[in-house]
Formats: sequence, C-alpha cells, structure tokens
Amino acid sequence: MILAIIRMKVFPEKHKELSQTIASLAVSIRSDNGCRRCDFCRNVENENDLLLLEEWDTEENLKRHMRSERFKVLRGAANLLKEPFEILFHTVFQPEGLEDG
Amino acid sequence: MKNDHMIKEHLLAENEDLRRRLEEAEETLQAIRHGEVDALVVSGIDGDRVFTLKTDDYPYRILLETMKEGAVTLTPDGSIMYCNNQFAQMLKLPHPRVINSSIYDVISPADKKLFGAIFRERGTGEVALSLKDETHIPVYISCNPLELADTQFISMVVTDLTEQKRNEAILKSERLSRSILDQATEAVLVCDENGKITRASQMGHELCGKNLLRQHFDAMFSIQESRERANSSKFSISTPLNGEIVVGVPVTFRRDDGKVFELLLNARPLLNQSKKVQGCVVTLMDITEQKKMADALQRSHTELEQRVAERTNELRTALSEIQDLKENLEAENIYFRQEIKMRHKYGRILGESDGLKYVLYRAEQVAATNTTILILGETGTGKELIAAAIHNMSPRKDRTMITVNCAALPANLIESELFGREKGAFTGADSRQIGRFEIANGSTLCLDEIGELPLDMQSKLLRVIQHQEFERLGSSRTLKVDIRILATTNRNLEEEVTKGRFRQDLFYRLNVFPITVPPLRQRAADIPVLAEAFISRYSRKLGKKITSISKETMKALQDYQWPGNVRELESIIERAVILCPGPVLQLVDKLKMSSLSLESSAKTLEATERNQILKTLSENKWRIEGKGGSAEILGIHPSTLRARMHKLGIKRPRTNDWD
Repeated sequence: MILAIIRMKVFPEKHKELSQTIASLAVSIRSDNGCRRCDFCRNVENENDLLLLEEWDTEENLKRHMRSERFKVLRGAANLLKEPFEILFHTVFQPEGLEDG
Repeated sequence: MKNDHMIKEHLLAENEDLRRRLEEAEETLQAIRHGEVDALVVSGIDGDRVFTLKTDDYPYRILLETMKEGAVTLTPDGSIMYCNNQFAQMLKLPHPRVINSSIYDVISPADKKLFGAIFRERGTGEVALSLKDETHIPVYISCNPLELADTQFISMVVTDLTEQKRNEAILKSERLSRSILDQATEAVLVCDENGKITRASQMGHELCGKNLLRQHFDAMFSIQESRERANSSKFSISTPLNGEIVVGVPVTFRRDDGKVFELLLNARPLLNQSKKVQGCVVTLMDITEQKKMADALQRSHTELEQRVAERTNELRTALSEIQDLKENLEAENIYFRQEIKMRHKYGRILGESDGLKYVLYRAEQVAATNTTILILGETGTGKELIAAAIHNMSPRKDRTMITVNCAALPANLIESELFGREKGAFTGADSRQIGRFEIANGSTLCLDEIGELPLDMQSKLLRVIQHQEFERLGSSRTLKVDIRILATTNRNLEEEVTKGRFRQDLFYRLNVFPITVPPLRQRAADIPVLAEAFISRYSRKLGKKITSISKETMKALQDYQWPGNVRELESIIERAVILCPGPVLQLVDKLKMSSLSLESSAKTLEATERNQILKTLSENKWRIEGKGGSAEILGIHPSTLRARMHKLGIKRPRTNDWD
C-alpha cells in the first residue's frame, strides 16, 4: 500500500476556492480503481495548511491516478498556493504482531 | 247736310221707339210675374197665339217659379222654349236671354255628348253647365217628354248639385283625414279651449283604453315627464292651451291597468284667425319598445366600450411589452454584435496546461447552476472568456450573455447603464433606456472589473443580486428579473474590503464560487499553441505567410513573465506579424521583464500591477492612448488604465523629472 501526502500552503483569500475544488475532486478520486482512502485535511494550527491524504493499493494505480485529468486539475490549482505543492509518497508496511498488542 | 240731319232725326226716333217698347215689355213681364196678366197674345208668322196666364194652372206656374230646381221646356232640337227664373239664375243670365237660346250652349263641352244621349232618351244623369264666366255647375237633369198643343216638347228639371258636391268633398276629406288619423302610429288628440278632447285617433283610444271624447285631457292622461330629465314634473294640457309649444318631450304614462308606456310628447296650440288659442293638438308616440331597444343598445354600447377599453388596455400593455421586447432586442443586438466580435477574436479557449484544466474543471462544476461566480485573475488572463464559456455551458446559453465593463463606464452613467432610465429621469435623459439588468433578464450578466464599481453602486448591486429586483431611474415600478451573475476582477477583493473600498456584504454575495484564472506565466505550456493561433490569425488578416517561429523566439516567449498575460502576448504577436518581412516570425518587442523572478509573482497583485504600469508608462513617455500606447501594450482599455493609475496613486511626473 502506498500513501501519498499532498501538502498545500494556500493563500488565505484562495482557501475557499481550493477547498471547494479539492473536496469535489476527493469524492471522485475515492471512486477510482485502487484508491483506499482520500482524505482532505486541515492543519488545526494553521487553516491555510492543507493536506490531501491518499492511500493507493498499488504503485500502478497510483501512477494511473497521477496521469489522470483529475490530478492535472489538482496540479492546475498551484496558482492558489503560496508555495508549490509538496508531494510525499510512503510505502506502508504492517509490523507483525501489532494487532495482538 | 239736310240729308244728314234727316238721318240723325230718324235714328233718334227709332231709338226712342225701341226704348219705349223695351219699357213696355219690362212692365208686361213684371205684370206677368206678379200675376196681374191673365193672358198674353203673341203675334207671329203663324198668326196671333193666345197664352192664358192666369187660369186654373196658375198655382202650378207659381210652383214652377218658386221651386229650387231649374225647370226648362225644350223643343226637340234643344231650343229653350221656356225656363223658370231659377234656371236663369243658375246660368247667371237675364231670363229673356235664356229664352230661345240653345240648351247645348250652356252644357259643358265635355258633357255635350252625354247630355245628347240623356236628352234623346229622355233620361236622367249628371252633367255640368258651362257659364259665361267659364265656371261650371254640376247639375242633375231629368228629361221627360211633354206634349203641348199636339207638339212634342221635352221638359227638363235641373237640380244644382254644387252644394251636394261640396258636401261630398268635405265628407270625403273628412273620411280621409279620419282614416289618416286612425292609421297614425301616434295617439293624436285634439282638445278644445277647455282641455276637453274633441277628437282622438284610434291609437289614442287604445293607449288610454277608454273612450276619450268630451273627457278632459288631464283626467284621462296622467303623464309624468321622464325621470331622466331634471326637474321632472307632471304634464298638463294647460301648457299648450297657454300658447306654449311642447316638442319631443319624453314622458311616462301609467294606464289604469298598471301598464307603463314610454311616450314622446308633442303639443301645439290651435290658433284662430285672430291668433287666439281655441284648442290644441297633442301627439303621443309610443316609444316603449324603442326605449327598451335603446336601453339594450346603451347596455351593449357600454359593454362594448368596456370591452374596447379592456382590449385597448391589453393592446397598450402588449404594445408596451412589444416596445420593451423591441428595445431589449435592439439592445441585445448591440451586445450580440460585440459578442460575435469577441468570439471571432478569441475563437475558443486554447491550451492544455494544468492551470487551464483547473479553470475549466471549476467552470464545468458550476456552469449548470444559477450560482453567482467570481472570476479572478490578473489583467489579460481571459476572465471574460471563461465567463463566456460558463454561460455557453449553462442552460441560459440560448440567450446572449450581457457584459458590463464597470471600469469603462463613467461613474455618473453606471446607474442608468445598469438599471435603465425613464425619459426625463435626469437632465439629458431625452429617451427611455433599457438597463443591462433588464436586457440580461433570462440570461447571464457578466460584471467585468467589478472591483472598479463605486461604493454607492455596490449597495444597489447587492440588492439586485439578493432580490433580483430593481427600479429604472426615474421610475418607482419595481422590475423583477431572472439573472445569473458572473463577476470578474483582477483585484484582491478581500484586501479591498479590508481597505474599505469594497463592501464586505457584496463580496460575500459574489464570492460564492470563486474561480482564479492562472496568469500566462503559469501556463507556459500553452504559450506555443497560443502563439501559433495568434500568428495564424494575424497573418490571415494581414495577408502574410508566416510559416514558422524560431526555437529561440519561442523560448523567449515562454521565459517571459507576461504581466499583461494573453492580451499582451497577442499584442506582441500582432506587432511582430505586421513588421515581419519573411516567413519566420521575429519579435520586435524586447521582452525585458524576463528578469522578473518567480519571487515577484508572490508579491501582492497590486504591487505587481503598480510596477508593470509604471514601467510601461515610463517606456512610452507616459502616453496612454493610441497605437503603441501604454494601454494597448498592457492590453487594457485606456479608461481602465487611468482608473488603475488613480487607484494606485500613479501620477505623471513633471517633464524635467524624466527628461
């Protein structure tokens, strides 16, 4: 499983616009093949720090998603950000015996 | 001389003799008439004939002379042997002149044939006697054979019918007038000087239902003048009897059986030769039916008038609607032409960049709804093109989108431009004008450069957006409209709100669904396709064949920061095409702003705008308008540039400052 974290620092005046867009995109992304989770999060300390948390089953599905029109739309929202997107990918592993502890 | 004297004397003697004989004859005649002569001897060719005058038949002769009829004794050839004095008087002739004259001389020429027949047959009949004064007397004649001294005579009795004929004529006339009177549709009543009815037509009797003769008019007819007349009163026969003429007065008569008649009354006094009233004639025309018809007609007329008034109102409303529609259509046509012009200018939205995909995604998300959209972005990024795209994707696409450039309208005209005005709303408003809100009814209204709208207008705009209603200038009538609002601005409206230059409530109303159009520098991927499209457009327009653009040029275009965005790119390409000598496009403008770092884009829009305007103005020696002027280079309207300069506090330095 792969975790994709997309970090966005939005201009305060663009917060609404970006939120509307990503909230709408997230609904669509969740229905994409291989998407296990797509959460739109906000930093409680700074409301203009936003995160899009995506969980993908395979690298292949993640790459397909990143080639999709939806992802291009997301990237196209860069204009609303103070800084460029910060995208982090993490491979998730499950330590053995954790469930029992 | 002696002979003449003798002749004269002889003639005098004869004359004297004749006068004497005439006097004797006259005396004799008088004596005979008075019965003083018993017998008369008449000498003739056949010898003397003795006529006994005073014998046993004397009473009969007296009878003959005293009877009213004329009596004549005629010979078979019509010669008058004898006639009584009455006959001579009929003929207005002296008795002696009648004797021995022919009866045919006194018969009217027209009746001579008829008389001849009666005379021959000893019959009876009516003929006319012709007098010397050319008058005629109608007579009845009765001829009988008479034998006197073995001689056949004819006795004829002549009765004067003049009086009878006159009476007959009067009777006939009377019958005629009675018949006319009875056939008259009006009730005709003749009253004497006391008001008693002396004559009444059939209709008069029928109207009253009683025998009217010798009754007093007022007792028979209780006539009330019509209620429609002012000061209605009872009619009395004394009115015409006092010499007053009454003409065509509508009256009401209630008969004893309760039936009510509507009548038209005429009354005239009858005057004798000394102009004294001796009675009057009253005519009463029954107009009950006409009145009913007139009332019905009046009701129909009133109904018709009411209907006409209603139709007129409907027509007036329809006409007003047509006028409004016409004005709307005319106004729409103007905008439609502008719209067409814009479509030709931009063709379609070009590009494949992520930035453009983002904008179109946002547009598609909201296009089908009626949500108010605020389109943000730097000047020249094509905000109005995005607005048009949204409108064309909306259910309102069949109607033209109306655009108002808030920066281009003079402050004092914005209100009438937006809301319209009535004729005479203010000095100079010489005609009614439909505002853009009205024109945009049922469609989309794009408020371009909303950030430039004066504060007082912002509150009015807020009301329209909230309630979709407004009034024309100079009118109290509230107009309700169905409008989808799109607003565009290159300003940071939140900042404008903070600075008090933009109403917060209006901002919240507009900022329901913001769409930020990225600047061209963030759409570098779209620059080649845009550049090619502009080269193609202007080459075609200017009749040039430019087939390629060098890699270096393209790179320079992509590296340039494009403060004026797509409009600036188009402007630079147009100039390059104009001045390009060959098939390869070469830029003529120096793209000096390439040094502008990405960091600068992170500055406030206002600072960036201020820097760019200042730079362009100084490079153009502060020339704003015209070909190659700062406004054109920046890709904005000169009035917009002036508004920006005013807002940003940019002032032209004194001449020696920049010299």
